[in-house]
Amino acid sequence: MAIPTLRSLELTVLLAVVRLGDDANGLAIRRDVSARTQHDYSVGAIYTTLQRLEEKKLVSSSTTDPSPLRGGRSRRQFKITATGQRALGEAQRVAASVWAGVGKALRPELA
Amino acid sequence: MIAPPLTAERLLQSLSAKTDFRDGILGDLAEEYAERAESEGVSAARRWYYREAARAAPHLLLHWARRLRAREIRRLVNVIVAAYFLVSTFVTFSMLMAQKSLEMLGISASFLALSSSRAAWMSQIACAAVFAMMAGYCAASLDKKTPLASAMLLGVLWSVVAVASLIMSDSAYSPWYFLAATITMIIGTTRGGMLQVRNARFDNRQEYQEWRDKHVAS
Repeated sequence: MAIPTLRSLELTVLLAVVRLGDDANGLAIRRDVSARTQHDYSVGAIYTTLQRLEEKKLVSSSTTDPSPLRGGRSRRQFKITATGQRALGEAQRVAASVWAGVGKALRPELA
Repeated sequence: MIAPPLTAERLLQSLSAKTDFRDGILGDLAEEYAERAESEGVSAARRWYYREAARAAPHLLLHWARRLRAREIRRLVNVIVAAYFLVSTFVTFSMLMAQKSLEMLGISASFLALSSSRAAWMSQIACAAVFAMMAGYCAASLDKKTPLASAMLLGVLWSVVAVASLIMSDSAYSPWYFLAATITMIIGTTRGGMLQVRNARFDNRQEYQEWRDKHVAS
């Protein structure tokens, strides 16, 4: 099965899902991504990305019991799938490949 | 707990049908609103909520539009056609009544006819805004699932039809008129839909009581 390619925000969100583990819900993912990228992503942008990742079968989601804190709505928990793990591995390999040798060009003292 | 602004929450709800996607967004916003209200105060939290609601709205609309299926499209077409005919019947009847009344009073009703003067254009745009608001309100009343989305869609389709018919009639309208008419219709129907959503907060007393128990009593 072909591994889906990841866009920039998809990769960032997928990494946040892995990092947060069992606490990977929409709110925590948004906070993590916004803090690390120093960009205030809207809740809609994060959910649209998570939806896309789910359609690509890179993450799976489950809902918790409705909570009064959320106005009687459920919380969605996200988990990376085996395909998602393969896609991350592939993204890391591609990134390492395209960055190879660039460090020396940017910082000649490393050479 | 402190509940988020009801009108903004209702408007967001009315943009998209109930899905995990919509509930996820509204739930996260409600949760963060409660945290911010405690730490930063209710006013700051409300401002934050309105800003985030405005940012989330296009995503909800797009998500809803991407998942439209034949059955849902048929339902939307029914709503839009019904709203359009209800309002256009009312408008035609009102215009005829106004014309007859003016004739009976001996006042010329020529300003009601199509004219190319700037004053006539302005009055036509103003009338279009009122009618669009009525149509938006009507469409939102007829659609219980996605009232605001229906009102906005009606505005888009109505303006497309109006502009197409004006172009085909080979009239002497300037491009600005087309632009103004399009914007007026879309904003008018959206505003009408928003009014309906705001007014129809609770369908019945039981729904209001459930909301109160959930948000106020706890």
